[in-house]
Amino acid sequence: MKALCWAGVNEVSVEDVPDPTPLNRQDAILRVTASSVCGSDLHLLDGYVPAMRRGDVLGHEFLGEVVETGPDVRRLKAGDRVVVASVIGCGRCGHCAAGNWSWCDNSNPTPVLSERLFGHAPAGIFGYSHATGGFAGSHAEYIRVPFADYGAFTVPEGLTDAQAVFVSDAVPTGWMAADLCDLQPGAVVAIWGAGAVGQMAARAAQLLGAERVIVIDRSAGRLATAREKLGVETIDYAHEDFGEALREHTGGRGPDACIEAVGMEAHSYGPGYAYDRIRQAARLRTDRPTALRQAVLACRKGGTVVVMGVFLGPIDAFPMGAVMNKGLTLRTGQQHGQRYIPMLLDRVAKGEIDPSYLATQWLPLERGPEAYAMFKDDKDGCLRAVFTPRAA
Amino acid sequence: MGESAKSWRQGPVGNAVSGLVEAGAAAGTRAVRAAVRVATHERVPRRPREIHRAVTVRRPATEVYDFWRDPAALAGAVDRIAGIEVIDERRSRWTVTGPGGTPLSWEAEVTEEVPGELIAWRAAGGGDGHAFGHEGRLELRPAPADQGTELHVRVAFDQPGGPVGAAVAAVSGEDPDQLVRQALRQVKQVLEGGEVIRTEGQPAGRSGLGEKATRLADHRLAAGGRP
Repeated sequence: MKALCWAGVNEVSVEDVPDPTPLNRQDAILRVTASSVCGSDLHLLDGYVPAMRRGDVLGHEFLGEVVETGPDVRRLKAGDRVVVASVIGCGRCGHCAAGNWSWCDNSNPTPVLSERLFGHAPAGIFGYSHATGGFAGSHAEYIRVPFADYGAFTVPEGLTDAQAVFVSDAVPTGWMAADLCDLQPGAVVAIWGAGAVGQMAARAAQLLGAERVIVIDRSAGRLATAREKLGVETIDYAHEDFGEALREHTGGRGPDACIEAVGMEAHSYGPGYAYDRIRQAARLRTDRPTALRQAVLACRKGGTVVVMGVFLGPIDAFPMGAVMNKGLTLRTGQQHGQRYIPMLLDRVAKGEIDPSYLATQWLPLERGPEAYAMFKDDKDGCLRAVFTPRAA
Repeated sequence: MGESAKSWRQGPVGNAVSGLVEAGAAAGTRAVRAAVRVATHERVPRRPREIHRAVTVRRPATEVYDFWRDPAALAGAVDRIAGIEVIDERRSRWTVTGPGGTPLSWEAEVTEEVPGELIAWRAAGGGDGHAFGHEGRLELRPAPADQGTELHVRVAFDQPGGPVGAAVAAVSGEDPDQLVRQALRQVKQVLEGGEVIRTEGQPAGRSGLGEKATRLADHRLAAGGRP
């Protein structure tokens, strides 16, 4: 089959690879009908994530049809159209049982690097380096899904691929961001990053009772989309001192909750950004925490900062004094997709959330290198490019 | 046992090093081989060493205990246990493979047993592989707030070459500590999730050599753990 593979720093290539077969009794094999690029893939492409290996199949946000099931798969059967959580969970360890699927103890077969970096290893993730299991990803005609009964969810009838594919990752990640804000009536939420996750976080915040949602980015196009599709307020940080703007927009209080949906390769302007950029370019640090710092400084006293952007290494110049003296709550984590996906499919079916507009380009796998270039540089209005390896 | 201990450390070192730095590290390989010779030479004293590793499994203690006492279940769960042969009620013969394929073996005799709570054993060399004499103990304790059962494993043995020998063994992937950690992890995976998740044999866009290097690197990332 064809698969889009990591070929080195900022290089992807389409390769002929063997078809997957079930390797475990609880596996399912899916024919992939839609597989999206994700902002977090850019960290892999840029070479900031250790433990990528040439030839690794990329992709973790996908939809497909079950073609084969292992002997211990009970719920799924061939022909089912399913969306799969990007994070793999066994469903039966203490963390999964408590609904915290991305902390699964049993789904990461290569936990050692993470244990050294973080003290404990997170769950396995599709197509996301050998630090999270080294699982082959979904930018391929077929994919193998471990613990399939727990991670694959039947798509309600009538939903299009465009509506369903982002329920794999962007929609639950955004939902979790808003969920972790623990919003009170009248809450004002500020979101850094107008990518798919930031926009879905904005929609979730609205549904969870935020009175106002403000989205911050430097992409005028993405901000326009957020205004048009979600009716949120926006701040273009390329043209506005948004620290000031946020304070004044919120009557001097600051947002009650700040969501960071950018991650380790944030952009900004000014000396702080230059410092981060140089340290990262010199590989002294993997992570560039610009947006995170801004969120901490902007957040109101006693507010909550939720980090959904991906970080990996230590960061420096983190304003811990602001966290302490303002009594901020910091909440974060990879998405606990399995906890939210059934509820979110229901909301998409009811029309409360429509993620379909996130798919701005539909492309065959062969155009993978082009798709990532377009996505990274925010060209052609690319919010998300979605591959159609084996469209129905 | 000195002679055999020396040789089981030497065998797989070439493989282990290629796993770390992939191909083309011939000089490194020679250096490590030399270090192994020094570290495990009979003139370097053996030092007593005790490993304590623990894991929490979300299952009742009785179930964990029965699993551990079932040779087929335990050997089925833990990759590196090649076989457990029951001799009688108290004695069994164990064969464990190293990453380089060099087997270790011992004959274990149960010295203390409280069903559902603890099992202790004493092991002396024997069988086809290189002998690994040790004393071992598994204690089961209830984890707080219904989180299941804590498994505490203690293994005491004489480390050939002392701390240097232990460091070299850790590099080569032959450290008993790594075996214990991986065994506990895999027992937990089977008891909770029903199976150990595999990635060998999945699709990748690399050459046979690239895939071999990846499997070796993944093996490194699968064994061992918290420093």
